[in-house]
Amino acid sequence: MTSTQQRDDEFVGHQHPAYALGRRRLRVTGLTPLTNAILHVELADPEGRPLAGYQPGSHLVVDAGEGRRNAYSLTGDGFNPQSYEISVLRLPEGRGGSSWLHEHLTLGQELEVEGPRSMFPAAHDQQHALLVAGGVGVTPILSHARALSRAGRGATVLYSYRPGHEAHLDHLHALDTVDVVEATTVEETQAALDALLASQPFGTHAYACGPSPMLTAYETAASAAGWPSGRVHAERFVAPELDPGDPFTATLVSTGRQVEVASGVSLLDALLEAGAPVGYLCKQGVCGECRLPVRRAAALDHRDFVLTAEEKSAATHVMPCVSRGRDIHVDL
Amino acid sequence: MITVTEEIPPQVPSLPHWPERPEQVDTDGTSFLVLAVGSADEVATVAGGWVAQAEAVGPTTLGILDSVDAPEDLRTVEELLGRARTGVRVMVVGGQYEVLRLLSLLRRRGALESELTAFATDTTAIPLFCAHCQTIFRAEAAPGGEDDCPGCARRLEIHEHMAVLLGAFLGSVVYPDVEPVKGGA
Repeated sequence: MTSTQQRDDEFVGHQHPAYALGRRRLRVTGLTPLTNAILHVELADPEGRPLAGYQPGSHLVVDAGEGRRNAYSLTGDGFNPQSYEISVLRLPEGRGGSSWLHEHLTLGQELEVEGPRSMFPAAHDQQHALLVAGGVGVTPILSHARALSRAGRGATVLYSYRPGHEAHLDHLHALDTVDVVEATTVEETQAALDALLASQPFGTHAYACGPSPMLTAYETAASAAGWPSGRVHAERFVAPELDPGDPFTATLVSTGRQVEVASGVSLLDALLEAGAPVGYLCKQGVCGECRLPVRRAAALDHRDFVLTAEEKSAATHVMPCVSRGRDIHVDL
Repeated sequence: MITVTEEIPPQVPSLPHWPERPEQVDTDGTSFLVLAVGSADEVATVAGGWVAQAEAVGPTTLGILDSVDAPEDLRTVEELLGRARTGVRVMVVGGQYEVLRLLSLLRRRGALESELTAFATDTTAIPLFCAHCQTIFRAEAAPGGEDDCPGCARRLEIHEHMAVLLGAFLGSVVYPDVEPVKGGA
């Protein structure tokens, strides 16, 4: 008997349902169309048991039919939640998961979920928050705004949307301590970004979620306004297309086994093909699920949006779903 | 039954590293705040050099303080920080004690390391944190030395350990078996 088993036998803590984060089934208790393309989904425990609390900006992994598992930002403040709420944008050109959810979900149905997971948390020492939302990227922004409002703290929200697609705008306006700035064109969004980034109090952290061009504009404007990168946080839901890259070799440190990674094949797929147990979700360098420790590497080409600039230059971890390199020794 | 063997890692000193000469102003900033403590010539020279560099880049404010403990000086700092906008770079110059106290205040107000530049004109005094009564006071001493705590009158040895957020060195009692003086010094 290993010491871990002994410990589990002796201490049976963390058995309360509000600690459950693994795969489990929740019941659909609410379905509300917010716009003609966004469906708001409420999920609760079938037995009415409490759910695990979560950090604002967390996401929930949801079974999206036919083996697909999609990650959606939770829109609540995360404190003692009675339900998990997500807003699903129907993407006809996507992998089909969002369309499946739109077409198949019915009230009372049970859905397999996992999480919540925190990949977009608030800085613990922030003095103020500038929250920037583009389109359905409003979901984690609403979560942050609600958490700050519950704590009685202020936030400034910039919400960029196309008229007729302003999901959750009323919920943002309902928060007392939150100022909402709206923009409905690219030019308005750019002007608001420039103005807001130049006028935030000392110690503000900024958080943005939205389409890639908006996030690029946000990061460029923040840099121009003198913001150090440590204050500029972003969550991406779509990653740009990547080139196939050169072939290289990866080595599994535990066994010394070598895995050849061909051009156009990701390190993650090559490792999975070789039977290495690597968890993954988005395969786009966005979610952070497949993060692997690296013992050493001749070169690492980080192409993900998860690791910080410091982590990338430290070269101790790699996101194998998108990143490549030469002679990578992964700690597996 | 669980047997746990704890490995105590080698103790690594955490001490402030001061540059030999003042660092250049970070011109990625869009505004600048220079905080100078004391009337020493070197403080004025360093602050003046920073102000000249910063003014060429963006709006620059110079705050001159007599001390870092007087309420009116702390109010001045709070007022300057209240006016500062994110994008600012803060430069601090003074004696080691003053600089460490100010950096602590700035870090507790959410400043990132990349926003701070500091220069100590001397290392004669340190802020010392008493592990027993939690007083932080000015000690004319250095790590490895000793001083008396004005809060609980214990004789403290000064460890090679400075807490960055607290902005003070760790002091703990030299003679643990001696009863402290009740009511302080």
